Amino acid sequence: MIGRTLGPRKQGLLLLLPSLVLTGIFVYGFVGTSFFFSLTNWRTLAVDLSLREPLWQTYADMLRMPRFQADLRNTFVFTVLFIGFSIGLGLTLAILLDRAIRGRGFFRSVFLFPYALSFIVTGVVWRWIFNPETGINLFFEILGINRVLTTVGIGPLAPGWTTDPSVVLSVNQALAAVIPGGNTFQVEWGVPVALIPVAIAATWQLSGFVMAMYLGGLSGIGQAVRDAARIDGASEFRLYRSIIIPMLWPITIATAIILLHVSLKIFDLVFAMSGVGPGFATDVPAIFVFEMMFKAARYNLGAAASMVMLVLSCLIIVPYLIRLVRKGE
Amino acid sequence: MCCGICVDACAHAAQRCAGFLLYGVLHYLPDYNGLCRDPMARVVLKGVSKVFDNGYEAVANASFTVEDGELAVLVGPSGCGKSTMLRMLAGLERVTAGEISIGERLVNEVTPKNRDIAMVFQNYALYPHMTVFDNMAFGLKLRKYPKKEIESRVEQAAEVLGIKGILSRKPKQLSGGQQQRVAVGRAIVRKPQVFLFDEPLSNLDAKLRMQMRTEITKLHRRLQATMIYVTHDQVEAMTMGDKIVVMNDGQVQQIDTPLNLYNSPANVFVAGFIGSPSMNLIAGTCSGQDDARFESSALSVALPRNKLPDHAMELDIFLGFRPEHLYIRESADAPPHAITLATLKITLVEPLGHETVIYGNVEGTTIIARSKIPVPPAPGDILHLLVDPSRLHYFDANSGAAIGR
Amino acid sequence: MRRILLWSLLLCALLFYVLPIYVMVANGLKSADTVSLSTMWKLPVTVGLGGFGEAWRMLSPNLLNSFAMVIPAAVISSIIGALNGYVFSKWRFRGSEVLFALLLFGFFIPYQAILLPLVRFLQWIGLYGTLPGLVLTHIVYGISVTTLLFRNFYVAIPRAIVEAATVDGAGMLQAFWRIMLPLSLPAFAVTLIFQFTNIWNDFLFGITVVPNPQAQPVTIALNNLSGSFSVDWNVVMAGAVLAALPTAMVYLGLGRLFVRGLIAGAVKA
Repeated sequence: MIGRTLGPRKQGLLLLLPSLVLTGIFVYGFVGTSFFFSLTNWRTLAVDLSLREPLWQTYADMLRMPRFQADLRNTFVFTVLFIGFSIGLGLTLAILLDRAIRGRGFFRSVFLFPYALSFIVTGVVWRWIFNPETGINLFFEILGINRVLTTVGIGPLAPGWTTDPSVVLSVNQALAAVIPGGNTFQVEWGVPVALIPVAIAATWQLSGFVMAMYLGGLSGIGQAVRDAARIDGASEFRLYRSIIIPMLWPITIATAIILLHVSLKIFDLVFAMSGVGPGFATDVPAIFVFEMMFKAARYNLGAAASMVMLVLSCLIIVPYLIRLVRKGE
Repeated sequence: MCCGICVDACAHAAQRCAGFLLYGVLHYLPDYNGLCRDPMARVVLKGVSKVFDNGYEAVANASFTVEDGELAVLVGPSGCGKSTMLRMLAGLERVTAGEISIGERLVNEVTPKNRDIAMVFQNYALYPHMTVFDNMAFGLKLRKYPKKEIESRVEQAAEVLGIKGILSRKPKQLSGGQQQRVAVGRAIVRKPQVFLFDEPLSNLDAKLRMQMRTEITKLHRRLQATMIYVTHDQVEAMTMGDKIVVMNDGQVQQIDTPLNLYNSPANVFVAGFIGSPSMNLIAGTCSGQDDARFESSALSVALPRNKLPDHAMELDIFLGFRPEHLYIRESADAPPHAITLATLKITLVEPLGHETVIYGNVEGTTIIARSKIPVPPAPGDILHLLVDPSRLHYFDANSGAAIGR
Repeated sequence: MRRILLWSLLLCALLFYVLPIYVMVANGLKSADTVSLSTMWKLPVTVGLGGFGEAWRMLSPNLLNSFAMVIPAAVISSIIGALNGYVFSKWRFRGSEVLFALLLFGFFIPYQAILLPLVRFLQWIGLYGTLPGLVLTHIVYGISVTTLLFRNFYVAIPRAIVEAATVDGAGMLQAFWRIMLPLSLPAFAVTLIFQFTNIWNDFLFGITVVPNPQAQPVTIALNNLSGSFSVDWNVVMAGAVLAALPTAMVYLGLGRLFVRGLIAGAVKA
């Protein structure tokens, strides 16, 4: 007689069960609960799980908050700056190292090194480098730039970096012209100057990763294609512009998605480097959520903001996961 | 899903059409000559060597000439230096010593782009992000040809190669044979002085390989261009080359026409490399005055004295004879002057239909024979073999060089 | 000419990447009375370990907390990931890809979206504010990425190996234990390094799940140190070095595996 044994499907499910249960509770259950909290009246230390009237009032309130509007703007601006800087620098470094030169391994290791560090360490150090009293600004003195500028009559250079509250390249008027009611924004839509140093610090940490991705892609491009292009008459510059960089497009997409994902969630770096900044110039949704939940005890508001973050992330993840499932089947 | 099927079906149809088209087009297309070029292109190598940075000598002191319009094949086992040689011709590797000239111009220091050559790579090396049209047009665009000229050249080449219908596809959507054609097309639109082929057929299946082989030969005949073709496949070399350069261990072994290589191999290596199954090579000595004998551990053959070169006597030699020049005594196809070679015990029989390959053993020495005998013998049978004495080869066992011819 | 351009670009880049490290180390080595804002870029006049001593005194309990958190969390999440990856790669069944995608979702969500229920849940089971609670959190949210890494590794191993074991009479678990596990050492190395770095560098869970400064991991303690006005600047920099040291050592010692994990986790993710 053949003993009764479980089929492979049931056995497999049994092995997966603990993980599936934990994920079910800690991911899906908790996301659902957060969503539920965002619809309740729970906005003080006393738990109040009655549903709000009207149901979406917390979201409506949140979207009208100047601070939250600033957060959305900052996320957008930071994403563009950070991804632009990182991909630009990472690709450049990868191309520079895409040849047999002495010390190739050394350069690669140094450029990738920051990726091993915590965002907190990065934030703590860069906070001082961009401190208006010291850091970069000392170079203007040391290199004599300020002396020259003063004699010319412009006066010394002393950017405020993360303490600068100004927003440049404002598009509010343009928005007002295009979108009806576009002039009702309570924040200035433009590039908060204070965000630039934060984006630079993030670039310092992650451009090495981008370089490593591109180096991986470059090593996958065969010598034959390069030879073919050289025989076709392509110069070094043309070879990269017309052949290699287009061939790296899938890597660029993958990298951009990963960086996008980092920038939507960015928290520790900003927290350690600049905090919310002057006039919320460097505030981001992740900090907003943290402060609403753990400082201000406005739980429903924090939960609502976290749902906005989740939705933004899902816009990138879900298509990826669907493709993954399709490919597997 | 549906799309995939369509693409596949199209690819198959296109492939079948392509073969048909080519045969037709090559013969009847009147403006085909538009792809021919004018200048003379003789390729001369003088004492060319290549030593890599790690000290490895890939090519040693190679000299040969490829005449204008000739198709020369570089052949040899993998690692013999033939690809390095081709890459030096292309300008992708620097020459350590010696001179290379193309069309009477010394090109040692000329970049690949300025050598007026085109190359077809083993893995095709198509640009994956470009359409077939753009792949073929890239080299012309870089040379700033007018748009009209580019279009007409690509169209023409595509027509010749039977890939007109796939000009807007990307390489990924093509079959191996189609990719191969695109790679060839990329070379011919440039109308280079010299075409270089680096094992271009080794990634195709046997049937397609044979088909492309004849297509390239025809292309060569039509274009009248100088072509240098690298392969490790001796059948490809024999069927395609006007001239064959056999290489081994970085050394040129012999430069000759296919028939001469077959009939008079210059040394043991060439003798063993050309022909399939390989030539039988038996170590032994020749001796005797009026009637010479070849003696080895297994064989003792009476040789007609007049067929034997004088200086082969009293030397350690290899006696060579091809499987196709052996005859079974009992069958009637042996020439009258054939002499007795050996009596062997059959160990393995491979009936191929039109002929039979027989593996036999004499005193521990294996001999391979090919016979058209209608009823193949069985393993274990005893067989008396005859050989055509005019087809015997003698090689100096020390130097490996052929004796006599 | 070309060489000069190449090397000057590389050296500029080198400067950009090394400067912050230099600031950290050089100022960490200065003594409390010589460290000042105006001499930030200068080398220390006298090298002193006073800053490091002070930083060590303040951070050592938190460094220990970090180790106590990261070791069990990385090991356990890797083991679970290996099992899951095995099933998802070698015992696929109808719907297993969907389950995999559902599991993987947990790696990508912004954790803010589960923070509040997580804290409530940990309070409910009595692990809130404790290291075991933090370890549990890291294990649960680490499962998805360890599963991904192991699945990608196992996919490259031919299915025939498992089938051969099955024909030889091994069950699903036996085939894992006897055949796959011995082959998985490189994957374990990569995954452990990946998790070690991730968990060590975490800040969000540390600051929300463990409010008690004594029990917090070092990243949170470092941030508090940096924000405090009573702590000298050289101590902050020395502290940053101390907090960075473990992952930096892993990177410098096992760089090759580190990069492999990075690419495996990223390219396919």
